[in-house]
Amino acid sequence: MIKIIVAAHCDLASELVDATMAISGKQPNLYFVALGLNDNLEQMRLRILNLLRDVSDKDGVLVLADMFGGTPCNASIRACADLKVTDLKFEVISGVNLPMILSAVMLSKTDINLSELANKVLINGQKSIVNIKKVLEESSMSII
Amino acid sequence: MSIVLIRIDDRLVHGQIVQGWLKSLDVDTVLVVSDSAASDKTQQILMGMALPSFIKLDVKTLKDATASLLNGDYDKEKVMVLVTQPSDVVYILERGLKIKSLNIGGMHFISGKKQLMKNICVNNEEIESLKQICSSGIEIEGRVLPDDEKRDIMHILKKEHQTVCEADK
Repeated sequence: MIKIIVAAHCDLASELVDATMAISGKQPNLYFVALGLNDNLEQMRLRILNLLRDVSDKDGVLVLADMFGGTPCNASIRACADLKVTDLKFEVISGVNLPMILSAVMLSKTDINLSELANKVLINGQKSIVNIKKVLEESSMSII
Repeated sequence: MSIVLIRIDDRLVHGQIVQGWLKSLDVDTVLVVSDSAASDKTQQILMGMALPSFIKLDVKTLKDATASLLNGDYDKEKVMVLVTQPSDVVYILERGLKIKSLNIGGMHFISGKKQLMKNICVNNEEIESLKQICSSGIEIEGRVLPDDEKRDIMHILKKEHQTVCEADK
């Protein structure tokens, strides 16, 4: 089964995972890595590397990082690159939000490969960002 | 009658329904039973947007929903019925609907209620309604998400009652 790791600043990663489980129940293939205020890139990289080593299997790992260019994202890329020699399949997507994690855990239960999963999670994440007032106005259901 | 699930959940259609229950049950229609939602266009639109497009949403008053259910309007559908409070279930049962099991997943805390389990709090009036439902031989199971363990609400209530009595002594 494809493993999913949420990597984010402070308590965001654990809280996103908690919220995911509150909505969809316990997920055996969902993990998180937190970047503490005092952690540097190297500490974060090692933490992700250790987790990747622990959880990796033949189906691969999808890392969902909170922000492009942020340390959790940079450290994830480096850690994954470190494991490239071991043939670990991985994808890293930035800008994680709750619908992306929900979509990732649900789709990972189906017959899907890692790159298809990454594509769909990215699309579902983008679709989930909606200017609701505008959508309602366009469909002439203005309520606000 | 093809009620797949009848559930008390005061949040009606929300994340746990869409991402939890609808992913694990074979349902094609969600019937929301709520007088206030039936007259609240905004809430109806938002609930409709939250559901996947292949699931039909009906929002009806308690009276209309009961009539539709008894009339067999949903006999050919696989319907999830969402109500907000136990007294609504009593109303539906008193008018002749037969069900075997009732799920309780969301009765959130308001001052004066006591907590039975996470997400499930009741006041005395609600306890009386639950007793009435139970006396018709219906299983009342507390479960927030489909994969959670079913908890026997009447059993928890009995234990709760005992603790109250012991404290009185």
